[in-house]
Amino acid sequence: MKKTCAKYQKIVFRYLVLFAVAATIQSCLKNDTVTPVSIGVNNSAELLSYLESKGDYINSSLCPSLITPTDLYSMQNDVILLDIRDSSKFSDGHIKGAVNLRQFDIIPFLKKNKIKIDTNIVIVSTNGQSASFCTAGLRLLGYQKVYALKYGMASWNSYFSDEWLKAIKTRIEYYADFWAPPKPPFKSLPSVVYSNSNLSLENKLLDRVTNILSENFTDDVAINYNTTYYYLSDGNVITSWNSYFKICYGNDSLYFNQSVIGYKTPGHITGVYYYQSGPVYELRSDQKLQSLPINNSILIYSKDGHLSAELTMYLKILGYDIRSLLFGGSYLFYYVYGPQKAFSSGSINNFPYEK
Amino acid sequence: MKTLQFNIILIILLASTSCEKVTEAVLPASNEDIIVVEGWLNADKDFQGLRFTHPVSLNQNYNLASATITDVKAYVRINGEHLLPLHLFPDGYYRPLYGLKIKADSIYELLGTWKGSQFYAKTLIPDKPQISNIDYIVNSNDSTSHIEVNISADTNKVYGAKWVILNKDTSSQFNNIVEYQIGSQFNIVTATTTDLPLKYRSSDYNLLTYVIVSEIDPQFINYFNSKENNQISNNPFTQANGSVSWNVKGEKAIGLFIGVNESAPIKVVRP
Repeated sequence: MKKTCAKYQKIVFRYLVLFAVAATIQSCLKNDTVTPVSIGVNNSAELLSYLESKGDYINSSLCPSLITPTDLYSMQNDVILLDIRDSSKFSDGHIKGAVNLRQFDIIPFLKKNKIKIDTNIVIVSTNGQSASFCTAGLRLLGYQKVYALKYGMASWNSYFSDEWLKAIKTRIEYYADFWAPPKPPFKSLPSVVYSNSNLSLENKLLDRVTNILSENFTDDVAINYNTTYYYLSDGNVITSWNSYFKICYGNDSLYFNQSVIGYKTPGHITGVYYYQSGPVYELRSDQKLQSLPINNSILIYSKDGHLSAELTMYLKILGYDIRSLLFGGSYLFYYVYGPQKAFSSGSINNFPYEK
Repeated sequence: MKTLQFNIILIILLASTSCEKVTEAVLPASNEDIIVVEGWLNADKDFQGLRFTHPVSLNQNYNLASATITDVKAYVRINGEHLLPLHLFPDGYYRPLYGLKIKADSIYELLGTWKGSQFYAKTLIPDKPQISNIDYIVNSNDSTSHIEVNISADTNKVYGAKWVILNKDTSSQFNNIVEYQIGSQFNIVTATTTDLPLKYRSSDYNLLTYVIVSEIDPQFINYFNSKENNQISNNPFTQANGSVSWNVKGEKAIGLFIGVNESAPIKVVRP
C-alpha cells in the first residue's frame, strides 16, 4: 500500500514540476509583448533626422553659401568678417575689419561675442574652400546668414590669387567616359562618438561641429605645384587616388563627356561615382546617401571645391571618412571645362587690402 | 526528500510569479503613457504617413489634433538598410521629409522612441491580389446584397474586399479577412464585402458598383479577428490596450503598421 502511495506521489510530483515549468514559460512568453524592444539605430541617424528637421540646408538651393567680392565690398561694414588664414598670411594682407582666427576658434568667438544667428557673417580663406567648410558647419548649427567669400582672397585682389591661377593651369585631364558606374548597395549609416552622450541633440551637433573644426581642413597649397599631384583638403598631397571611393558631386556637365553633342564638358575618370547635386540632391536620405561606404575613405570633388567642402563638413558630421579634392573639376579639367565655368583671371578683383 | 520536492516546487512557482510581476510593472499606468501607432503602407502609392496618438476611450470623440503626440523620434527602414527619418507634418502625420513611394515585395520596419522607450514593427508589402471571380449576391429575401470575390491565395497573405460606388462612396471596413486554407481547390479563397447600403441597391448604381480587393500582410488577420471579438468600433484607434492583437511591439506602444496592396476598382456585374 505504502509502495503504491509512493508511486502515485512520484507521478503527481512529476506532473507538478511539468506544470510549473510550463506555467513559467507561458508567463514569460506573455511578457514578450511588453518587453522593451531594441531598434538599433546608429547615432548618426538622430543627427540626420535633426538636420532634416531644421531644413536640410545642405540639400537645398542655399548651399553652397557664397558671397562675391563685389557684394562683400559693398556691405563690408555690415558684416562680421572672419579671416581663417594663418597669421603670417593675414599679416601679409587682409580685408579691412577682418578678424583673424583659426577654424576651431570660430564657434568660441561667436559664443563669446553673443553673435545672433541672423547676423551677417563672412568667412574668408586663402582659396575659398576652407571657408566653405566652416560656413557649412555654422549653417548647420543654425546661423542663417553665413557666407564664404567665393574663391577666397584669390578673388579679392590679384596679390592673393597665385594658387588659384596655378591650379587651373597646371593640370589637364580629359576622360571621354560616357558611362556612370551603378552606385554600391546601401549600408547602414556610420556611428559617431560624442564627448558626452547625454547631451541634447542640438548640443550633440554642436559637439560634432566643434570637433570637426578642430581637424585640419586646408585650402592652402603653398608648395610647388606638380601636375601629377592631387591636393586634398586634409593637407595630404597624393599621386594616386585609387584607394579612395571617388565622388563627383555636380551635374551632367561636370561628369559626362558631351563633346559628341557639341558641348565642351570634361567627362570623368573611370571609377568615379556620379552623385547629382541640386535639383536631384542624390546625397539626401531618400536618395543615395546610404550607398556611401562606411569602411572606406571618400574623396569628393565638385566644380570648384566650394560645394564639395560644404558636403565634406556635412558628411563628417554624420560620421563618414571624407575629404575634398581642392579646386575640384577646375583643377582636373580646366582646359576643357573652360574659364566661363570656374575661376579665371576674370574672377579676380582689385579691392583694397590692409597689411 | 519531501522537503527537497517542496523546495523545488516553491522555487519554480516563485519564478513563475516573478515573471508575472514584470509584466504588471512595465504596463503603462494610464492612457497618457501609451502611444498608438496607425500606419497603412499602400503599395505603389505615396506614403500617407503614420499617426502617433494617445489612445482615446471609445465614448470620447476622436480629435486628431489633441491626441497627436508631437515628440516621437521615428524612422522607417526599407529592406534592412535604407533608413528614413520621419518628421511631423502640419496634417498630423509623420512621414519622410521628401515623401516616400511604397514598393511591393519590400520589407518596411518602423523604429521609434518615445518617452525613453522604444517601439518596433515590421511588415511585408504584398503583391497585387490575383482575382479569379466576382459575384454580386442578393440574399434570398432580397433584403441585403454584397459582393463576393474569389481570390487565388498566397500561403502567407490575407485578403479582404470593399465595395465601391464609383466617385461617390467606399466601404469603410472589411466584412471578413480570409487566408489560404490547406486543401482548398486551386488555393481559392472567398472574401465578401459588407452589405451594400440600401440607397445604392437601386438600378441607378448598377454601372457604378465596383469592388477593391486588398492583399494584406498576414499579421492583419490576428488584429482583425481579435478586434471583431472584442470591440465594435469603426475606428480601431479609439481604444486602449484591450485584448486586441497589435503588430507594433514596445513597452508603451500599441498599433498597426501594415502593408497592403489594393487592386484597382473592378466593375461588378449586377443583375
